[in-house]
Amino acid sequence: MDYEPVIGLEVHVQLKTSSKMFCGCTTEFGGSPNSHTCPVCLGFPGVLPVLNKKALLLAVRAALAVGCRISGEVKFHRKNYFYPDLPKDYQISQYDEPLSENGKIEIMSGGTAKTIRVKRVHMEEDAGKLIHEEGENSSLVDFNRSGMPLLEIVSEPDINSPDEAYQYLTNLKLLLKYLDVSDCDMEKGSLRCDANISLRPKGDKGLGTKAEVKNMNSFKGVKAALEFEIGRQSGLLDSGERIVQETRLWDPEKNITISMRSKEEAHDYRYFPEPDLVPFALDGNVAKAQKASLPELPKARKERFMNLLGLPDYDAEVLTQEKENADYFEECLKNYDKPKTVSNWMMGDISAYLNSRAMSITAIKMKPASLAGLLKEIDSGKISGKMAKEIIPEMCDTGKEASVIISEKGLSQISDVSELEKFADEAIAENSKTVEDFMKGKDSALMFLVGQVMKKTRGKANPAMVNEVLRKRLAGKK
Amino acid sequence: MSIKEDKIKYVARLARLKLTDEEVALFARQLDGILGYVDKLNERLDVAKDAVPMSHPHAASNPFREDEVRGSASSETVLANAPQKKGDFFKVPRIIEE
Repeated sequence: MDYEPVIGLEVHVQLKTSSKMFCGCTTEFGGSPNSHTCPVCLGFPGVLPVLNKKALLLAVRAALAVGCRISGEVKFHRKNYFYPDLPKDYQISQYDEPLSENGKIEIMSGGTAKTIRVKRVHMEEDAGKLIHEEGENSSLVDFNRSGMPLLEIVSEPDINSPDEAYQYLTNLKLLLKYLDVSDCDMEKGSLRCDANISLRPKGDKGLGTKAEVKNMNSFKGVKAALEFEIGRQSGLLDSGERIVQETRLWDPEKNITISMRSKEEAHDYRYFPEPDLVPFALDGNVAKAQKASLPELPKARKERFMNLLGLPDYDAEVLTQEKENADYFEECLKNYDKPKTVSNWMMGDISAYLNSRAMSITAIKMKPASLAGLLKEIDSGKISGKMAKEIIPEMCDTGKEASVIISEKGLSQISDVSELEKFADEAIAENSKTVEDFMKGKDSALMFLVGQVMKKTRGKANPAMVNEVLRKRLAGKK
Repeated sequence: MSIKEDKIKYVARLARLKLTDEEVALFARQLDGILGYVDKLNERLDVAKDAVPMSHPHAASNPFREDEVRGSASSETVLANAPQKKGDFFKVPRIIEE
């Protein structure tokens, strides 16, 4: 039978604060086990949590950017369960009155725009990290992560394919990075994603029994895990078996999901209002101020690049995929007003340089103004595009200006016609057979002669000019 | 509202409390009495309709903390009361079944 997957995603991102959500411990990644802990995040008796103001403001910012309605009052609840990574035996989270609700994220599905509704965006604290030692009958706990400020972003089950899930995540991450509310680094655990997936016969409106899949460590992993689940669940349904509602763990090595049998009790979290935190009033001004300070978001920026700068859709898309790239691009334009040319070099040679070194644009030494300088040298005819290609890696490595490298290496292009004519005549004299071929109408023979002249000038000639000069000299011989 | 013994057993299990049969019966009777008393409110007013649930006795006053790192406790202090440890880790009975 043909099934349609129904997918909802739960994304947790760590908010970019210096200190934890309710105490003054650092949020720095790493550190020896339990070295970033204190009585508050270890849940010692008698301690009181005090909310980090920046965490709340970042949360409001993110919620606004996904179009959520911000609640006027922020209340925290206790989510009660026993697990060794949870020192207080409850997690401070939000329940029936979350920070914000009813947002949306736009994605492209099969060439058409699709809206994925965001059910809610709320704040909660992170738990510690459990390490299960191979072959040992014990687990180890590191509470450095305990109490980190998290934002939970829950989608409605509007996602209908692994690819849509991938796009949703990519767009969400891009948005959060533009907002500078989170590093969104999956390797460091600052972005995590759980997926709920069920199948239903195509055309049906009801919902099947879902499985919750965890432990994906990349967006590709999410996609692969969902693809696996579609295969697993449709196999079960086809053979008339029932889907069991359960939590499954993705195993990235074997590319399968496995049922998680844990000692955790049935989900009955007995939420109740956190008595240690009074409700926080968020008057309209807070949301208004945050809204006013939102940067231009990726979609708007892409549209501006297309409409005002005349970039093709593809260029605008690529350049706005990372905020830093788009910033670099615009900075370069301040000194060199040909958007498409800058875009070509950024997507070509500069991107190749970055990829080969797994670097981001912020790490290269070539300033945007220096790139503008290089492009001007090409325009003036001083150097060829080919020379520029050779100069770029050095500019990126050292931060030297193009003009400096050009004079250091004696790179400037020969554009003096009489000098080129001298080399052209030499080449013609030395290659009489080729000249003969050309005279007989074999046009491609000219390319060989161009190559000879380029060799003589050690690549310093402008190939187009050489071509022209050669044609003129040969025409004179006819 | 009436509290039956199975409710007491369920709540005790969630809270990791070991109760004897006598205690279960006793608590069921006591909690039933307490909740029955609270239920009297419903005789005079419709709580669900007439009152906003109170989540806290104090009004919102936004006692924030600025985002400043204040430092953490030393690992000796942190692990001083740990029943079991390994290096700087807390050690607990294995949680995932194999």
